[in-house]
Amino acid sequence: MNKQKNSTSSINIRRDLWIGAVFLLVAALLPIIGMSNYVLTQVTLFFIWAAVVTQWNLVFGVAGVFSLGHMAVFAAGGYVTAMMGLYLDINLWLALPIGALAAVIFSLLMGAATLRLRGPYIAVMTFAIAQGIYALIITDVDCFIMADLLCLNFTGGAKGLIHYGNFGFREWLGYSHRLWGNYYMGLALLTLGLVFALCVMYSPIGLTFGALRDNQICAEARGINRIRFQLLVFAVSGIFTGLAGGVYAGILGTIGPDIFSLSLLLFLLSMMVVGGRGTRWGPVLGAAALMVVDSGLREIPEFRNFGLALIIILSMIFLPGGLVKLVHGIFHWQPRSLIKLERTDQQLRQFQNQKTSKTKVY
Amino acid sequence: MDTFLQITISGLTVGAMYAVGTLALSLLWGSMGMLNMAHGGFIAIGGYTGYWVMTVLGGHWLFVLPIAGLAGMLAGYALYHLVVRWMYEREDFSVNIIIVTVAIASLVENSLLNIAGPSAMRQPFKIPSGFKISDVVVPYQTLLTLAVALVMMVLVSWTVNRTKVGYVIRAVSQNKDAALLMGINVQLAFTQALVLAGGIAAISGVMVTSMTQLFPAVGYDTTIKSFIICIIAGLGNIPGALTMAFVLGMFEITVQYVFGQRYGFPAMLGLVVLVLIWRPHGVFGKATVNRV
Repeated sequence: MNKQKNSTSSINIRRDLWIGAVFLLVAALLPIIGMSNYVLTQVTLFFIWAAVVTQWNLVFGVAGVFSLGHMAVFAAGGYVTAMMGLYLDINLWLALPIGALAAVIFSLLMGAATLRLRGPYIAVMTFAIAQGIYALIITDVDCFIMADLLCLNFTGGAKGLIHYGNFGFREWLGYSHRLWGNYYMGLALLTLGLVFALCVMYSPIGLTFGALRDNQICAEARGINRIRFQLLVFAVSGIFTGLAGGVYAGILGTIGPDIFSLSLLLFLLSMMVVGGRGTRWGPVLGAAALMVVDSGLREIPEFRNFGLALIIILSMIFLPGGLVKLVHGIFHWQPRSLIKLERTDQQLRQFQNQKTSKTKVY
Repeated sequence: MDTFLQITISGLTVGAMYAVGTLALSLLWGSMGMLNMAHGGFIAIGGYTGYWVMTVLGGHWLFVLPIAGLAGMLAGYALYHLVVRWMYEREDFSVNIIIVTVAIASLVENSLLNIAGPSAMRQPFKIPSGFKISDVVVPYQTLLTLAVALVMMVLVSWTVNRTKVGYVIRAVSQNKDAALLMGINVQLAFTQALVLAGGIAAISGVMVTSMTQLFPAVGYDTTIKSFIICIIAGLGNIPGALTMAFVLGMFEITVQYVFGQRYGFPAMLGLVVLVLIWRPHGVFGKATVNRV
């Protein structure tokens, strides 16, 4: 039994490697084929959002800690990276790891604040923490530095931070190819983040997260320290979220409180829900699907949120397993009669097990 | 002395607003285990219905609360039949419903934005003046909100604890399968709970918007604060939630007076985190035992 399980997991790993390799190859060749700047920028954004959702999925889907404050972690990474560039004149490449560290610390704090809470309580608390930080940022009106008679706030206030430097792609690659730098930076971020997330999921740590999600009491009874692992999952997911925040800040050249907006949270949440939460490829697949839909929705901007919300609701009702399950179903198609047969067989076996087992656990 | 009185009155005003906004949320959470993030949508629906009744239809103010309540009930009915009934039999209902209701909140906000426009309006259902206690003005609106909150609380407690509808709702919330086996119509009980909560939320929406202003995202702030109050009071404990609404309202106003306007909400959050570390099930909540 154990051996069989090991072999299925190695098949899974091999399949994931193949999918990843094909994805990487296609993504790496795309700009060479020649695409418009608009498409290139959109795909770069897709890389960043997919990287964020992949890390969020570790907390939300794999560990089952329903954090809605993940964008605050992203913002912590982005803001600290930008502030390092603005106030300390550090090169953004050096500021990236500092931003990631700040995001990890912030994520840990959020994990610590919700340690004693359960399920829905955590969702509300993390959501409220993100909103509290948003409120603090947009009401920031005190002057921190004066530049050209302009009053600049410490956090940038409602306007956001600007002029903190960039990654220097324009000097390296020339003006016409500067977007390529952004593109490959985003691709590198997503690839590393994905490899990291997959490693976590396949490792014993990932299995522990899953055990805590599926049956917390049983897991704790087997000697798993829930507090340690909850802090661990927040820290782990913070690393690449923070890096993604820094990359976002560096590529866009501006970072503002709109990161905390409900529409962005909804956008990323729908990526995870549509793709399939808790799955390995769901976040990437969902992000790709949502970016395509969103480019259509941008034609009718006043109904963008409406459309996104509708997509979430419909996919929650009709596609509870997400796109990943749909794709899986296509590859593992079975005649309906066979599925029915399997199900009755399963039920029969369950019934027999119940009859033979003397002690019933409630 | 005057400052103290002023802070008390302001705290009472804010507390009354929070209290009235918390009721429906607490009811749904306590009875159905459903965390309704679309609460803000109901509040906005109630507020706009009240506004339209008085301005577009030119109705008397007496009709505002009943019609707003009716609109909320309709929204609750629609919410059940369009969304909730497809989800509550699947596992992970308590989490899935959060995701879906966040989406619904956004849906309602976006629709209202397209229908009514983004500009903030004044809710006409309002008593303008107030009376004075030694130089400090006590608005009549505060007293009215307080009265409405208390009346609705009594009404909800009576419905849940004394009537047949309440028995059914509580039976379903305690054990859905057993209730079904006793011949209870679970679907109907769920609908009734949502209709009740929708109506109350819409009425509270009129009260909340008359103390702030009317704009599509009006319920957002109230929802977050109501959630915090619900959490800190303990799951579904309605009298506890009302008490905490006033305590937190006073606390927020005091912090705003001492440290400045912008620290009110973050300080409130900090207090909640500290309290939850001390008592994870809320101040008035009882620890529940989860069975495997």
